[in-house]
Amino acid sequence: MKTPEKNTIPSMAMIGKASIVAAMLASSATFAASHAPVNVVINQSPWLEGFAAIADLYEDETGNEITLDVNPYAGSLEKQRNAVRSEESEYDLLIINGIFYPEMYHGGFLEPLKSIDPEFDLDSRVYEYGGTPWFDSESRAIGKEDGQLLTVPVNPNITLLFYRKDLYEEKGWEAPTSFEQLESNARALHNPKKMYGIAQRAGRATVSVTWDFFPYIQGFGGSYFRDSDAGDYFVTINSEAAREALETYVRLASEVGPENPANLTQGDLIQLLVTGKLAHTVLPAAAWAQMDDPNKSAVVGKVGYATLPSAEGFPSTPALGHWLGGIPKNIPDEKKRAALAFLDWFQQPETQIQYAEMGGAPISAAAYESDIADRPENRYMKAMVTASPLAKGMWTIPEGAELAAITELGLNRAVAGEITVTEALNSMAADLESVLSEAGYATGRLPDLE
Amino acid sequence: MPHFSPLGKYLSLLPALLVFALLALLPVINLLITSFHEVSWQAGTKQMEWVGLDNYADIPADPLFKAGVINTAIVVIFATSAQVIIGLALALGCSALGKKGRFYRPLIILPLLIPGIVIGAIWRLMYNSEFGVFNLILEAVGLTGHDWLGSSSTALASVIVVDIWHWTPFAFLLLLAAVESLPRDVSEAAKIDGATTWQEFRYVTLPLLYPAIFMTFLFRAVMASKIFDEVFLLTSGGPGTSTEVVSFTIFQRYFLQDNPGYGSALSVSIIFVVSVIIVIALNAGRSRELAQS
Repeated sequence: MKTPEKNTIPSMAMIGKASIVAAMLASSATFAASHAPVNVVINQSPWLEGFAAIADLYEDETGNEITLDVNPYAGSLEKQRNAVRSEESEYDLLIINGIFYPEMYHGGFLEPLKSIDPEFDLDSRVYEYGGTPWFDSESRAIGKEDGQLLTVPVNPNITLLFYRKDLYEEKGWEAPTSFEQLESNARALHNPKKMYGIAQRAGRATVSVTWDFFPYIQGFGGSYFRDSDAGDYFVTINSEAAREALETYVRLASEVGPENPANLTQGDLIQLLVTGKLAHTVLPAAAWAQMDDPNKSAVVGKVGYATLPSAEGFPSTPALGHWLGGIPKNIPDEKKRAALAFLDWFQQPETQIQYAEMGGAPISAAAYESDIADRPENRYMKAMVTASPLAKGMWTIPEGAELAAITELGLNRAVAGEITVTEALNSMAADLESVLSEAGYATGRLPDLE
Repeated sequence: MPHFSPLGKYLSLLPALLVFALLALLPVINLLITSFHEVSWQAGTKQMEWVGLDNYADIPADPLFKAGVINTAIVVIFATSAQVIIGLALALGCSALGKKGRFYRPLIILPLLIPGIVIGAIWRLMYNSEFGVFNLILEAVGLTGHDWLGSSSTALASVIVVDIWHWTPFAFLLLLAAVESLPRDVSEAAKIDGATTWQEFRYVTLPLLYPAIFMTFLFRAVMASKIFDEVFLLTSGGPGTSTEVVSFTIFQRYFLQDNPGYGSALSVSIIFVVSVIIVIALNAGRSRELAQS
């Protein structure tokens, strides 16, 4: 596994780094070379390189072996499902997406971490991401208060606005805080083929446009469901606010974006941005590492990061799509202990700072509040500090895959122009209600938009 | 020669029947059973709840499935027809060249040997709106480039072109074997009688090739109805539902959405429909042969 190239570090920082490594070596001595190999199933994401580097560091420091089985998004999910449903999982650590973790929790597939080690707990500086690492199997609710700790966050995937800071500076602009400003700036910078004003995902996938549209619907004062955090799954995707949000999304896509908005994937967005052809986009924070890599990017140092805009009177609401590390029940105890030892090492403040330096996106305040956040190359961390408390998850129920399939199709068809915004919202609302009703939730939906 | 009793003959078939039952029937029966259930997981254990025909009742209202059926039918008709026509033309051409034609055969067969994932990569690059070869050619002659896969109006046609490129060699191989096994004396008799090349083809070669053309069409139609990899690699069914095909719908419903009950119902329905079409087509073929004889 390859460690990403690092920028020049001042000598004081070198000394600091050496002391960190020394401290880590000392702290890891308790489980040095004493654990079984850990087989990790993980997806191919923009933050993979950082995670692979930190896994290498763990091997170097402890002698314990970590193997990464890297897959595309859908492939990783399928392998995880197959593993936990088999007699014995071939994976000891599952890197689970923040959209699909409920099905792992509700299915009873994960070992409570305190069952492996009663002393284990999340480090106090690790972000809790809405209580998603905890689950109460009795009440079937997510949350720290009554839940058992099932997972450790491994990546803080929230959406950020990536914009061309250099062009903004030329024009004397500040990062946009409203959709109106964003649209106006995108139009001003739009020069088709050479520079697109904005591009966002609208291609249909497992979870793609649903996640990217979430900050829009929330930012206009709407929501997919009335109050999913409180377990209220009354469908509100067909509200007036949602219509305004989707109209804005479609208008930006069709008027100030590339000509294929309904087919854009995350890879396309990164490609357009690093080749200097895109002024704004929305990407998971972890994609920052590719912006300043001189081997991949023509815009080194030129991309700025900000929390997503919102309409006046409503808060910015980045979509929470973090990743969680969970240990399957169906593996031998020694494997469980080995996987937990890695997670424990990973969440420590010192490791998290190292993780940031290696191109990963840390999950601990220790990294975001450390000196490294002030370095120019880590400027995304400032945006993360602002955006993290505002981020929200889309749902916490195991029917997430079915819900996403409906919204992916409806939103994609609206952007493709196959159906109108109103038709898309009404049909999605009806289908969402149907799935939730069949699954036994007390649900309903707003009257159809006219 | 030794004679076997009728019972002995039937018994001798038994091992083959058992293997067939294990390999072909059992999985289909399992699929059928699953299609009447709702499958979920509780406390790490699979729960199967009997839902009768509910999964089947949901099929007609499935927007993806409806789009998938229409698009699959379009792919089957257009891709298969083009493959048979081009395959036949290539087979006749190669056969006419005699020994020289052997040089071209491996070249024609090449696309068939390329793995699907490589085909996806090749054509994704060629269709790329920024630097794809098609747009470079268009721009070189002063025309505007087009987003072939990203536009609803051209995405399905673009997928069909890839399928034609990929599978025409299959039709070519089957039809070449048929062309090369045609009796020479009939053609020679036609020539002696003064038939032109077109008349020889139209009234001698083509009628003799009908059974092979029919079987090639049928094989390819069945295979085309299962189209998946080109769609998965090039468009994922989009934009919108413009390239959604039945296999991709089943993949999404069964695997991505983890809905084995409904996914099984879709699968059983497709197996049933394809089987019916094959039986009808085979009977039509036999009726034609009987009418000719």
